Amino acid sequence: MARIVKEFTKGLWEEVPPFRFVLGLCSVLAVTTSMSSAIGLGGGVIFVTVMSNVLVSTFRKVIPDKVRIAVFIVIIATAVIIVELVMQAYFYGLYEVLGIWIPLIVVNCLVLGRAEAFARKQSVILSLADGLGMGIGFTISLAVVASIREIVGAGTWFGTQVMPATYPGFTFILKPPGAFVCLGVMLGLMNVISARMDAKKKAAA
Amino acid sequence: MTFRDIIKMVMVLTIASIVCGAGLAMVKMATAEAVEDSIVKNIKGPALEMILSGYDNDPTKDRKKIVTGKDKKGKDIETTIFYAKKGGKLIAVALEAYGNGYGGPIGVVMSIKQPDEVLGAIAATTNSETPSVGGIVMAGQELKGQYEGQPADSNFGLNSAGGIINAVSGATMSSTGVSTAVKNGMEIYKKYKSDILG
Repeated sequence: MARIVKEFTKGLWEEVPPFRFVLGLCSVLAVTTSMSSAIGLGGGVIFVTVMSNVLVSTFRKVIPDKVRIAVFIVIIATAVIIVELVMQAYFYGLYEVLGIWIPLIVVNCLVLGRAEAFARKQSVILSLADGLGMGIGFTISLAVVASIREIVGAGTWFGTQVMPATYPGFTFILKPPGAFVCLGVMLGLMNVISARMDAKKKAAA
Repeated sequence: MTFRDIIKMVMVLTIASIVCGAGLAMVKMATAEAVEDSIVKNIKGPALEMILSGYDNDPTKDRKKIVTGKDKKGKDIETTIFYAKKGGKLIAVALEAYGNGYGGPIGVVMSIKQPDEVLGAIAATTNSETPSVGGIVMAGQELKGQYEGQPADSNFGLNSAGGIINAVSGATMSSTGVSTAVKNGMEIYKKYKSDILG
């Protein structure tokens, strides 16, 4: 049980994908201009990582090593198309906004990375915990970056005005360079916090 | 690598593809109706709202497909008919038809009021006309306004071709496209009237 919790929580802080491994950056930079698109893509990624991790782990013993990547991609692509169809059917607005980024989840390194580095060696339960943790960690990262960009850039959050009506907006942060700056600041902050936490642990020991 | 390994690799990949393909086919079938609903609602919905008025049902849901010809490969061409009703009584039908403009096909939705069969209003759905020339025709009322209230059996060609519609000067191609689309739409209506109203 402790192991399951550990595999789940590592995705939330210690190994949070976009900031620790700098994985899946294309989508992090592209969809974080607003909260709703960030949460939408995050939800899709959670479903895909969980489904691919569980399936890869279930069949890990029958998949020959030499064709494993091909089989993983077939599984991942299937999960992604399910996400795309469901979004098109029930969340059309989101589907329009995310556009090409939904099918591109297939090539998000995070998903294949978890299948390759974790799920093909571990049990189904652990893989499920890992996929869920990584997916949620990815979504939270998207949400944090999107919050900063949407609030600072447009003065709104989930489309509702949060800044005073006189706030002129800061368009730079909504453009791709602004996304990089925002991501860099986040990476720096996470490193500072981690270093402080480590120092405290050492002092206590 | 033995022969057995090769066979195993081929088998695993084949089975994985078949299972995933079958799964996707099932998901596709399960969502097909909802996908079509949301496409009609989000893409045709706004145009339908512009040309229909005074209804109390949801014309994007109250729709029917009728076969209106065959394409080059012999596949059926379907036209979707939308019904506007008030208190359960049919007040107008709407359909979409196409005509060639300057930049490619122009899609036009038109409403035909029932039971007196006069054209209600028309609106462009898809077009790739030059925004500063044909685009103005699509957005403005100069051309579109001429159709309102015309009986369904009028000649909807441009008046240069003996019809009742005046082309917008400087945008003859776009005007031709729109008038062809309306003409095509009305032909579909007249030819398949019993299917549409039945």
